Amino acid sequence: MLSTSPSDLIWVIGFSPHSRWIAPVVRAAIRGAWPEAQEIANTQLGDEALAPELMEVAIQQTAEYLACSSPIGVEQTQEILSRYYRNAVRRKKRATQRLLFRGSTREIEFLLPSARSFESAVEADIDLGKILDETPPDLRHAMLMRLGARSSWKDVASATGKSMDAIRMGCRREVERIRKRFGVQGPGPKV
Amino acid sequence: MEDDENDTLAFERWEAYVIEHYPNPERTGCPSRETLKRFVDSPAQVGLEDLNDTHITRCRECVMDLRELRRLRDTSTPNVITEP
Repeated sequence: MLSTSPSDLIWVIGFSPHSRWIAPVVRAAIRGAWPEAQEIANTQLGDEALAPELMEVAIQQTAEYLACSSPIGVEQTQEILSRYYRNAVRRKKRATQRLLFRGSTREIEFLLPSARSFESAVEADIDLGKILDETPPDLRHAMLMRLGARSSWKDVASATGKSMDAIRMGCRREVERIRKRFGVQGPGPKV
Repeated sequence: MEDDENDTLAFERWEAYVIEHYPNPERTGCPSRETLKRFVDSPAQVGLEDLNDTHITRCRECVMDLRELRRLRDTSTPNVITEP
């Protein structure tokens, strides 16, 4: 089987006229991050072949993030891409660990976590104490402004020099996780 | 439960979660009260380093302080958030 070239992975990015700068920097960032990405897939998941699909997830998320930001360089893009990639690896690892139950009923009974530890596992899935750990600094600051100072998104946007839509879009992933954790629905469509 | 345009409910629930899950009675790693006050009054002027990064997402005491400081801000200067 032919091995995947990092450049093959760029297809996941949709192109829009105002974000044409994104593809070249992401492509360069992928090339830079690729050797380490393969190594991580190998050491963390035991399967280097998983690297392409996880990198595709990271590319998609990076492109979404960049679509709301001002143009940045390859080095910074690679940092963001690597962060999203490591997140994808962690999620994959967690999902794999949950599925690995083998053996007899007795053994499985012994191995099955208690209801409490299962609850902990679910809670850990959306551990709000760590929710911002992988968030880029500008968006982390924006989230803290909402949490700590209760600045409106409009004020956060004004303070960070971004549009309100851009800042909300940037923080969307984190806000969605908080909503999910507490069963809160997002605002309905504007009438 | 449907949230508003500012995701107010989500952030209120998050705050309640921090209060419930992250007691820090010894105030380990807390920014100073003055820093928290500046953050509430002029959030953009206080950076992540001053806040000890995401510390407030894991500290009941800081979140309680911030609540109090916001209350003082909102009662003493009702028009503190103004259009530029």
